[in-house]
Amino acid sequence: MEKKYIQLIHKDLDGLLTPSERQELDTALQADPELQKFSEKLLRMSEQLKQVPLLEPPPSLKQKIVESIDFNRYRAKKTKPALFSRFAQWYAEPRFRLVYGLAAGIIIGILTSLLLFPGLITQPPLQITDLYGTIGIHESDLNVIREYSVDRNSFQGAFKVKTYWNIVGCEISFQTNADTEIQLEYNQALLEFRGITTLESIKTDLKTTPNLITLSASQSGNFLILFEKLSPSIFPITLKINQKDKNIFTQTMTNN
Amino acid sequence: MMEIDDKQIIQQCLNGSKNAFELLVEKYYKVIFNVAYRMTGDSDDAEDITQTVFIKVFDRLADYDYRHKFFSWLYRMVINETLNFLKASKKFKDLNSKMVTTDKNPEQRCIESDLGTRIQMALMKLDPSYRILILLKHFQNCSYKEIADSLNLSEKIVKSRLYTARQLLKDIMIEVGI
Repeated sequence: MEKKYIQLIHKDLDGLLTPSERQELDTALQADPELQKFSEKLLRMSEQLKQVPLLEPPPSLKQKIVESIDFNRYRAKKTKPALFSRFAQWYAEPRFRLVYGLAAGIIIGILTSLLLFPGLITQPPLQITDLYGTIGIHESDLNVIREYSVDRNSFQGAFKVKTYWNIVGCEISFQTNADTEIQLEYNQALLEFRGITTLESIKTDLKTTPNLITLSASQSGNFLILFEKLSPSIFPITLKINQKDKNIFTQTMTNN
Repeated sequence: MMEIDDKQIIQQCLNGSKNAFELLVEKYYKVIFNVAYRMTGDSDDAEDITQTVFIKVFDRLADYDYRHKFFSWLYRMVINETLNFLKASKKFKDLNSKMVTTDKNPEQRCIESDLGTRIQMALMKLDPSYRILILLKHFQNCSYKEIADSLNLSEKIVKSRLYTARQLLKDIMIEVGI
C-alpha cells in the first residue's frame, strides 16, 4: 500500500479531503483491494469510536472538587484600586496639603512669568558643527530675507539668502547644460564661511579665498553655503554666475 | 460558551469569586473526568485525577496566559497529571494486561455500553502516548492545532503519531473482536 494513499485515508477520516484528493483516493481504492480493506477497517474503527458515549462522573464529584479548594487563596489578596481612586486617596492625605499648595504656586508662577515675559523663553544660538556634514539646523528653520530667480542663456536657477540666529545660508539651486561657475563675494569682517551642504550628490569643485567662494558645477545643483554672522549687518553679498569665462548674471545685495 | 467567557470567569476567580470557580468546574469537570478515565481505565483514579487537576488549576490560575486557549492549558494539565499518575502507580508496565475496572456505580454501568467497555479495553492496550491522541481527536473532537497546543508538539508530529495510533488501535480492535 502506498504511503500517499494511507495518508489520504487518514485525511478522509478527518474530513479534510479536497475534491481532487477524493477522486484520486476513490480511483486508488477501486484499483487496490488491500487498500480498500484497510480503509474500511479504519473507517469502521472511527465510526465505533463515535458511538462511545461520554461517561457521567459520579454526582458527588463536583461538590468534592469545590470543597477541596481553598478560596481564600485569591480572596485574601487585596485587589489594587483603580488609578483615579488611588490618586484621590493620596490627595486626601492632610499631611501633603502644604506640599500640594507649594507645587501649585510654583507652577502658576512659572506659567504667569512666561505669559508676561515671552522673551524668557530663549533658544541659544545654534552652532554650525562641521564643515561639510552635520549642521545643527534644519533647512526649514531658516528665514528667507532675499530671493532672486535667474533665467539666462541655458541657466535657470534661484538664489535665496536665509538667516537663523547667528547663521546665514545662501541657497543656490539651478539647472544648466553647460559648465558653470558660481561666485559669492562677501565681507569677511561681517561673515565667516563655515561650510557648504549639497542636496544632491553631484560633482562639484569648491574654491574658497578670503571674501570669495567659487563653485564649479554642470547640469544641476542645489547648494546651501553657510556663514556665521560676525556682526548684525551681513551685506553686501554679490552673486556672480559665469559660463565659458563670461559673466551671465550679477546681483549685489545690500542692506537697502 | 465562548473562550472570552472563560477569561472573564478566570478573572472573577482571581478576584476570589467562589461562584466563578464553580462555573469553571461545572463546565469542564466531565471532560476532565472522561479524559482521565479513558487514560486510566479506572473511575476512582479518574475522580482523584479530576479533583487534583482542579486544585492545581485553581492554584496556578494566576499564571494562566490569556493569549492561549483555556481548555488547551487545562488539557495539558490533565494529560500531565494522568501520565504522572500512570508512572507513579507503575501502570505503564502492566497496562497491557490491565482490565477495565468493574467497580462502577450503577448509573455509570447503565450509561456505558458494552461497545464502550470493549473499546476501553482496546484503548488500554495502546501505549499512553498514542492513547491520548485518540482521546483528544476522536473523543474530544479537538483540531490538530488544539492537540498540538495541548501536547506541546508540532501539528506535523501530532498528525504522524495519530495516524500510527489509529492503525494500532484498529489492529487491537480487530484482535479483541470489536
